[in-house]
Amino acid sequence: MAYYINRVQFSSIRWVLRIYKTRGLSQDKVLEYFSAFPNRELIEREYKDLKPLTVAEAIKLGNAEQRMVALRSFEIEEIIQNLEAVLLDEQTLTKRQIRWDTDMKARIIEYQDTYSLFKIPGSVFGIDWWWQEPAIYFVKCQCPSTQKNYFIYVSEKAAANKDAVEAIAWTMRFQGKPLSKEHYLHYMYAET
Amino acid sequence: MNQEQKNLIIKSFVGEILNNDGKINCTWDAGGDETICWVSINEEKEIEWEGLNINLELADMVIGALNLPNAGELFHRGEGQISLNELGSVIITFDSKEYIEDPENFSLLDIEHASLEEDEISPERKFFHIALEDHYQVKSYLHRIELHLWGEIDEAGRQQQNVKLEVIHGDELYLSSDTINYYKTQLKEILQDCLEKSEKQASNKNPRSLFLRGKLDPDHQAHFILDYCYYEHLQFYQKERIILIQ
Repeated sequence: MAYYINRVQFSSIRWVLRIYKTRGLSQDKVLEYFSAFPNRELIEREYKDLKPLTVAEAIKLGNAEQRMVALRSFEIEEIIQNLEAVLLDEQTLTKRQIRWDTDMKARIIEYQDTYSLFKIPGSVFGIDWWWQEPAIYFVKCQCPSTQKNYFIYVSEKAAANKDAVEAIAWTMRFQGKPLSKEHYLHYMYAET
Repeated sequence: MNQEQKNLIIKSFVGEILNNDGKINCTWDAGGDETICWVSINEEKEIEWEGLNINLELADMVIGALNLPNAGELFHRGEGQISLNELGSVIITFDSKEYIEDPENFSLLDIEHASLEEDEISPERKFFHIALEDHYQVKSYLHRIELHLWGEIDEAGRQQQNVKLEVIHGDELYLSSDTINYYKTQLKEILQDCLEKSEKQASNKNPRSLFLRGKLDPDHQAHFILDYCYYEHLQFYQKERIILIQ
């Protein structure tokens, strides 16, 4: 028998139930998804005691679609915390911008933007190459308007100097080429 | 592993399955930037055998043997069964058709019992809802399944209707043959209606074909949303048997 979450097929009902548990679904909600009597009976018997999935378990799922469905059950911060991300560099920039109020009156605001460059070693994903140390690099930054955190992938080359601003500059393009740190600091005023 | 070694493994696998009364089916829907080809072995979508994903290997062979399209407006759809012939070669016996979509050529208005929603009309799509009775209580499962419906009449007048249930959450569900037949009959009537209306409205009298698809919509209870009705120009239709591995 097959079981589904977001159209992705699983062969184990317990895996599916543990993912639902990770997503915080109540037993009644989960029961709405199951029609076969033995499955409903199993849910009523076991669901309350099932442990939520861990990030490490989700990462180890061999099927990419299943892995994606499982990982979507976690907050990004929780995934990063569990993936042994190493902070390589953190820099705070003071930025000045012109904003307009409802009367179209311009005012200058000053705020601080912090960029953090992280590395996740490939060994966490079970990747081990003899010719180099595989790793994934990303920059954490916060949207100044919504205060929402973003985690943006950067290439190994962009992270080579362990410079968070150089790395965030790489995520922007001008005439098809990534910005250098100097360009980024120069063009910073154009950010919206 | 070279192709010759792969072929030997696949051949023996196919023989093994058939000796045990198994079935290997293949369906494809290629074109429009995708080459989708599914092989199911006794309903299984993924079987690993001697280091090979047999479903993917067979699908690749079908794609190559039929030269299935990828990009562009050329489409090729079909289905078949993979087996061995009397000489032990792996073969596929199939029905398929290749056609070109012509989304410019819409002519679907004034369909009886359909309410056309003006704000949903776009150059590529015409949406309309058709009320159907929920005889088989499918509606009560629409929070966790989707019921896809599509049908066609091709230029030679051949008709086909399909009903597919897709599970989004939870355990498997199966449609009874009565339910499937009910929706197929509805589709047939809608298609016929569309064809008659479009023929009356069409300026030229060339043979034409129609394809429409939709799904049961939980917000509209047992209503259809049918979209993407277009004419298609048949390139060829084939009912053949070809060799995949000699």
